[in-house]
Amino acid sequence: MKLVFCLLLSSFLTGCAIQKKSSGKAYRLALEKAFSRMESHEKGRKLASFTERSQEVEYLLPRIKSLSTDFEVMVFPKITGQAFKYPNKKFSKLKWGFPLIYRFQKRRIGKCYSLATSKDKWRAFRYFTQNNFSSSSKRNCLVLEVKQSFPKILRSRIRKDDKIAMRIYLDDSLRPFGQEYEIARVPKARKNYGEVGIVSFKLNPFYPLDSGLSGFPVDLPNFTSPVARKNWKKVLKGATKVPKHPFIVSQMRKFNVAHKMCEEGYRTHYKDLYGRKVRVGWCEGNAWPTTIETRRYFAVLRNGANSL
Amino acid sequence: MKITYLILLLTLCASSWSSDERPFEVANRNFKYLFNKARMGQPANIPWPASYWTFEYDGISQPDWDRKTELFIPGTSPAEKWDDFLRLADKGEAKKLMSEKKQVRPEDWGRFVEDLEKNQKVKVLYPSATFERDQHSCRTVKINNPDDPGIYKGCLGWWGHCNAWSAAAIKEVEPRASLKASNPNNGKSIIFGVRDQKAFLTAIYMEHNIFVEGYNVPATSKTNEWVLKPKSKLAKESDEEGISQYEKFWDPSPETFFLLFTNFMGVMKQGLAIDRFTGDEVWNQPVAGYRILPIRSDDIHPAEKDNKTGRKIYPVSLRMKLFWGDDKVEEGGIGLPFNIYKQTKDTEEVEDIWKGKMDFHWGKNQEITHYDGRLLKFKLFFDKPLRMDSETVVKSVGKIVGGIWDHQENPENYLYDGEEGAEKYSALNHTHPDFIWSPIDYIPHSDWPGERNPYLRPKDVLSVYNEKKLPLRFKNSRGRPLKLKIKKSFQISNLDLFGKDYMADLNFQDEFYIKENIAYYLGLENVKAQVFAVKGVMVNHAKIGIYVVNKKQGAKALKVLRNYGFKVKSLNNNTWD
Repeated sequence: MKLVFCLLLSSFLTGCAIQKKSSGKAYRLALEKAFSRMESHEKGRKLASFTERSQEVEYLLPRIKSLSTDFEVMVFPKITGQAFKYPNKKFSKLKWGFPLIYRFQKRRIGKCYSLATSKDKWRAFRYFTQNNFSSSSKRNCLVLEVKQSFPKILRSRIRKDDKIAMRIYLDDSLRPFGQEYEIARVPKARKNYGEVGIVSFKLNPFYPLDSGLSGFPVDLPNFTSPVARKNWKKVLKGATKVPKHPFIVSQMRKFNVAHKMCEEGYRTHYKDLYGRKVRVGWCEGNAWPTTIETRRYFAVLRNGANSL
Repeated sequence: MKITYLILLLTLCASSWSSDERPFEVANRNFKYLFNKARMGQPANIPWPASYWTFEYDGISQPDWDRKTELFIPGTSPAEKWDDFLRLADKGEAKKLMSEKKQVRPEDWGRFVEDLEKNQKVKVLYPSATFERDQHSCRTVKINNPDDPGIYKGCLGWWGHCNAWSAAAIKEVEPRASLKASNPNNGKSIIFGVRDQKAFLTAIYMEHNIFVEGYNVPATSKTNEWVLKPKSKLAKESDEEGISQYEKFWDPSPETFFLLFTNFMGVMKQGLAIDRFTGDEVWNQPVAGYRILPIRSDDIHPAEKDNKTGRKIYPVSLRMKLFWGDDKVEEGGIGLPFNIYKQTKDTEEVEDIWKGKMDFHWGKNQEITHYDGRLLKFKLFFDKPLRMDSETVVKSVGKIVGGIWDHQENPENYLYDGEEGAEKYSALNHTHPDFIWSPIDYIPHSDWPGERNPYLRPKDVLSVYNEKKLPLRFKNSRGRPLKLKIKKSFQISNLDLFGKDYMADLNFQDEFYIKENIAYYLGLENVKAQVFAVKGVMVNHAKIGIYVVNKKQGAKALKVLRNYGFKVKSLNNNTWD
């Protein structure tokens, strides 16, 4: 009797467990895409351990220390008219907005273990935990704060929801461990009066840093990822691709940025958190990408972040 | 006492230290964290519902509607009130012009406007209203008919300022009361109602920059069976970026959709807007909140195995209710409160967040909704199985590796039965958002005059809204009137406006404004205003000349300018006249 009951019960449970699998074409295509994605992420050399540095950035590492001095990145926002209700000839071609300049300032730099164990106002210990960096680790970590420096943001122009600043927490392989946004919660928000909210993200250091829905030029390839490493190559021509638009060319000349470009250098491309393509160009001697192009902006290194 | 105080102090300090040490989880892609912490979300500032000022009634030059007589009242539109407010010289002509116009039936509005425009004074007296009627009106805006290329037709019924209203509703505080604004340039004070203020705020965002996720489906691609056939000719057509129509219809993916809303609205409390029409039309709405429903045991599906590699994917069905600020509201209405946590439940029913009926100029007993919404179903794929502690708490799960919309997987459940062609597939137009965007700011240095009404300068509108007054226009950094130099001649008098702070503020809009208006606003008729040169990215220098044709006119110009506080200096002999 018990055996019959058990058999009945097991067949009932098995019946419940067998759900009808979807077999439509669209579903199969979506599955194939997902499997393909899993495969590409797993292909290629995996890092032996978390502390291993990827060979691709090894040559850059001595220069990463130069991020301890401030540097600037000029950004040309891409302007789209797709939210207009009607086809608009003025927006039919890609438009570029007036350039903005973001200033990157070092807030803290030092041994990762030190940042992980000491408390400071930049909250580095929240991101660089002792789990990641032991006391014997010789790795360096830094906290960079990014703010728009040109045009200067007047307090009267601050609207609610504006992102006033971003802080990124990186190790010396430019792997992201954390990201903080300072967001205005009221118009004309003042920092010291509780009118600015801070939102913190502890990041997975195996994913690329993403600027999200913001204009901060912080999209960085993460060389932990086989995809970023696979596409990383040294090129003799076209390392830094500048959009061929007279406005951009003239503004780069005006702001004394044009000479920063290089033909010979490195470049890579990958997909960010939301599946959007990011193209990065890197000239020898720069500790930060020389050019970054995403769907939202084109950024070019302006001052600083050069080799010592 | 001292010891007690010390212990208390230490306890408080210790508690703050311990809160700093509280570990927090890896976010932004971590499904467990995002589901458990941000299963529901709404922006810190709920966007306000409002009219989107359709082109059918000429945008913000649409007059107020008298419910008793059921007629439009000429001269009461926000644009006309703004023109009255700004006008420097007025001999009562404007009042006389409008007082002669009787109230108008909505169905006669088009003919009324055509008749109004025959009067040349209207353009001079009401420049911003005229602009609206010229540029934001179904009588004048034409598009290339997608069904019959080369044949132009008027605009479509759903055209309006929805992109601008959505951005304004997210970025600006909702006007909730009338305000009395003063114009120190002409001594006028006008009361602007909620209707007017919402119109002005909407108008200044007509050109704004956005960060967008997803591509909109072009107007030439009406939703039809091609959206389910990725290999069909229309589906495969791609643009210069290589994005196919098929991809444009089905983006953003469920993964992107989930990550965007949970990260930006759930965790960061940021405002987002959507184009809720999945197909080619653009229906922008600011999102008020979202709620992901509990994951039931039936939602966790058996693993899918890749026979070649042996890899496994674990699909999970999710249901999300999305709510947005609606535009089927009275123009002067004030948004009702919205709280995703209290006003919605974990059921598939999309709650009615205040629906009612009201008589509008577009018909009697029309439906009002302050917030509307829909239920979206989709699957996410994970590389490890999902385990739940309860229906609302995830215990463990792998990484998201893909997904599919339910209406893509099971379209037969959504298509309209008994219909054929585009009608059958039109149900898919009301599914996932066509694109999701975050407004940044209005574009102050617009080089596209024609989209945003140039007579409503953002600086002026915000000054009126925030400080209840228009800036004194011609002053220097010390608040003193700008010095002018005038070069007299019989043929031309050249007035140079200069002053570092003012010049630095000039932009292309100012150039347009000055060219078209300064002569009139200074009460100088038959005067041509011209901007000589505008240099630099931020416009740090400009020279503006006002030409007069004879000595008499020059004298009048001097008199008017002095009345407004200008000091006028002759360039000829460097002395003050």
